[in-house]
Amino acid sequence: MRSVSAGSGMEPNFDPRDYAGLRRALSRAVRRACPGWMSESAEDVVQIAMAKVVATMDAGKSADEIGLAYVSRVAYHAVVDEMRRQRRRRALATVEVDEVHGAIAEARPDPEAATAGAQLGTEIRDCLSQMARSRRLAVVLYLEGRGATEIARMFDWKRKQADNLVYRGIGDLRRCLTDKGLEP
Amino acid sequence: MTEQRNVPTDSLPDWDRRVRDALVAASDDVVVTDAGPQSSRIWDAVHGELSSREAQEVIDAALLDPEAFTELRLALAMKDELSMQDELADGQDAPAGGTVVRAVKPRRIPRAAWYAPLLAVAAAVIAVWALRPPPDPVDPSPAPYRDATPAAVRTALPADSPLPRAAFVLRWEAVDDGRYTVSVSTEAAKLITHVQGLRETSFHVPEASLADVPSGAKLLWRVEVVRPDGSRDKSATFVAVLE
Repeated sequence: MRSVSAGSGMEPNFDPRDYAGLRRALSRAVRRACPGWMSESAEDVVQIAMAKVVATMDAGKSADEIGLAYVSRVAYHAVVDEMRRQRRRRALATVEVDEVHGAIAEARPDPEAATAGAQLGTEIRDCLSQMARSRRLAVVLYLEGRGATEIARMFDWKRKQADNLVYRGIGDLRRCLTDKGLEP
Repeated sequence: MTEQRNVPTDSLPDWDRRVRDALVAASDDVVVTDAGPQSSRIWDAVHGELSSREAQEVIDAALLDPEAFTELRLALAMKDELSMQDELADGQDAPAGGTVVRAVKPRRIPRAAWYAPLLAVAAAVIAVWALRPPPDPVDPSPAPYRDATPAAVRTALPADSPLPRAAFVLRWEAVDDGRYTVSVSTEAAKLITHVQGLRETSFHVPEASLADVPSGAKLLWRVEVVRPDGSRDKSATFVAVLE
């Protein structure tokens, strides 16, 4: 399977062997990134996305036009479409049930903990919004597991600069949360 | 879903991890905003297809919007997983007998294209060797230190030694007080395990993870070190045989 490197554009000749690899990678990515309420349907979402990949490949694209970069992008958009569709459906269902029963529709294993986490997350997002943009970018990407080298490459910064922005951004975030009386 | 969504053994410090989890939890709320950047722009930003200024704008807008933030996380996760899949697939193309599998895919390059430059290099080496000046009779100076080279992760397992199923312990040499990420897969690129944030320089692959792997099978594994300064280096792909 060929890599989808930054700026690689379309790679020719999508190898059928890449299909299984793409499916595995997509499945793991969806499980890592999709919202908790989608966990039950994660595999269905992957299946829908892969079906869309196949449909796209069958829709008259020549082999030279189709590369892994292209199909992985198709798969990504298919997952996003499905996530948005399910989010809207659930949002609607939540409103309806709340109106009738005055209750939260979601059956979470620990609704209180989930709600507390979400509230804390909202406060964190508020703190982030007050931060200088470069620090905010560096902090959130760091929290998403990106190293200083990758952050620097993404935004055309020097590695040392990215390192410094993460360090100072985390400091800003700590201070903001402390000021709000919050301790994650 | 939490254990699926979050990395099992995270390399982030506890406080940072709790912040990340709370941020993710806030994005899990069933909120429809339609205010964030388009998902295609998020994909482009993550894959380096925008200018740095545009990438900053797009990702920044995504950070502050719960729905777009989820899509950003998906794009980042796909980038990671596809890269890892790519590396593992590269490893399985190597000769079966070797201990270290180099990440090279020769199948797409015609053989003739390899021979010509190799022959040219070989001829040049022979010519330089033949024309070399005679060596100094005595060199009293001590051997110079080797130039510093970036420390890559090296295996600490003996070559081709099978590992028992109940004690399938992968070992490597320490690098710069780093933390390690280990990926293990079969030759068919089926992921067996992927762990992050290891402090120790060994990893015991749980026997349960090997349940579907037949004895005698070769498992491909590789290690990535994350140094205290955030820099990373990946090892070559190594092969371990399941006894």
